[in-house]
Amino acid sequence: MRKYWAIVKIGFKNALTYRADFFLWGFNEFLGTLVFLFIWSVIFGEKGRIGGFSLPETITYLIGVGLINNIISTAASRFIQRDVQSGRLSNLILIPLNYPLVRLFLSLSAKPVNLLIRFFAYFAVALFFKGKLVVSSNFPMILLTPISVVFAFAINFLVDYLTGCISFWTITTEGPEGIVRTIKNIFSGNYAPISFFPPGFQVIANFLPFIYIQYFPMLIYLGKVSTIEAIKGIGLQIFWVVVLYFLARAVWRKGLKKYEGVGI
Amino acid sequence: MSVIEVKHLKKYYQVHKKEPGLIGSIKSLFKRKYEDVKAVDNISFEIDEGELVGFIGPNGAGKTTTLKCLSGLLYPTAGSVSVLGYNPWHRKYDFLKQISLVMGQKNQLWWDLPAIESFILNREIYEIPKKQYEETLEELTTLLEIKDILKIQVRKLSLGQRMKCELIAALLHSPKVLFLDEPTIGLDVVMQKKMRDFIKEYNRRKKSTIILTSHYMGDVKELCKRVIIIDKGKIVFDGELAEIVEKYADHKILSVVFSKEIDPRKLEEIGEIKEFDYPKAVISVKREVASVASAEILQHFPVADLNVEEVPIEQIIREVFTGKDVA
Repeated sequence: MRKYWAIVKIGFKNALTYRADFFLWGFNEFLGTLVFLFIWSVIFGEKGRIGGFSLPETITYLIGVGLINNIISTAASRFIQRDVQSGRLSNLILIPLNYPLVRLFLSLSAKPVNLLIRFFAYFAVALFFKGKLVVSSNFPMILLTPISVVFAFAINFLVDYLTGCISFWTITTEGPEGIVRTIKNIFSGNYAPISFFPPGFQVIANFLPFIYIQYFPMLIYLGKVSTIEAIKGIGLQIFWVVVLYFLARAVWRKGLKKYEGVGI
Repeated sequence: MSVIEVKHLKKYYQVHKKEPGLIGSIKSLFKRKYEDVKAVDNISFEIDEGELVGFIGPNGAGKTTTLKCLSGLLYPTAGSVSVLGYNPWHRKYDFLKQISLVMGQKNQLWWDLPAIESFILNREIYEIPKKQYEETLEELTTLLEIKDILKIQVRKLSLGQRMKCELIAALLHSPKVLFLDEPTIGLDVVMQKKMRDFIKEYNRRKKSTIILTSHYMGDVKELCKRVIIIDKGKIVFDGELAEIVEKYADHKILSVVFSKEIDPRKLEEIGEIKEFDYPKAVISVKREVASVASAEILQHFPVADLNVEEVPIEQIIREVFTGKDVA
């Protein structure tokens, strides 16, 4: 474990080299989210509810999924793709460490600084909607939300990992990665709650793992599911983690055999 | 005991062939022809502990592919590879801790951080005891003369400085087997010399087994007793460097400087004229008649200077590759 701690440390130092970047991205997110929420406020207008969500719930939801997105995002697919394309993967698989874990810890290492700034960004956004936010006081839900976010992180990492593995076969993964990212963003409820979408769409969403990445944790927070349903949902999250883990392991092994170590 | 054993190793790559031009590009969107490229085609060899072997061959001969199979990066199409008793492909940690692959065009250093940070990282990753780490680092930085640049961001270093740092990063864990791919690429002559001296010294001190690939005959001539020549994925020669000369060079070179104008046609009776540019001439003669030929030249021509030379190793190898008879 000490070895991976060393990875976290060097990743952290590396991240600090380009400090200004953090602030710029933080500001970028602040602006984007703010405009997005203004648009939703206009869409709601006189309507009381859309898809079972009130305006305060929707705003809370969107700020929530934004925060969750920052907590769980790993950019693993982009890094794996770059590693494969540039041949840097060769370095990383020839050290006595587990490559997936190296990638996991490297993406975690940049998080503390990043998250701190993003939290400020969302706090600033929240100030614009003071009094229009839902503050949960349901105790089991407050406890279950972070638990579901942990599993959401695992699902998201594995999906990213699988997406990155495409690069073993296609060399450039921007196309496939773009599609996966869009599908993930739609079906995870990143743009809007799934209940806003047509019924057929919602049925499909329920069969995909993406819904457990952002939508489900926010349903728990907003108390839109019962405690039993929340625990069941967490069970399904674990199911997806296991399925995706074995899939990722198989795909990784197959991909490595295709690897040609180009560029070095 | 042999440290490296390669038996009937094959590595084929699949590449798709595209017809030239726009039409070709559009066609290739729908239908692609794939073809196997035999990067390494059935090679076998063994290397003993402490040997320093040169792997030479033209571009695309399969040198790097072989090294990649030996280090566990590539999955062989067929055949077996054993390094230190391990199958490299499994990349067992115990195996990885005993080898190192250095490639001139590959960087394992963290670009945005000073080199020392990457060294510290390697100390942790390879679990090198602190004392051993400090001693090795001291030794390597002294040998390569780069103590003063360890705290500078890697991206700001010159190519030569970076190569040296790469080498140190690769050697900190004192690997028993070292694969060096083009270690002197892009270095100036002074630096090349230093790098060679360093590799030689390292091999002598640590008794580590080293395979080195290079385009520069200089590297190989100076470092390796044994060479493996590989071309189009096959081994064309495996043996001592000196044997190449015996095996392939059945000629010697006479270079003459004349003191007066002579008739070049008369020279032709002596041997094959490779160059004639008065007052200099270069003549190729059969090895066994070299002394007779030089005596004849001295007798029948006004000679200012005469030298009997071996065919340069570069030329022999070049001609082994092109399949021509050697001078």
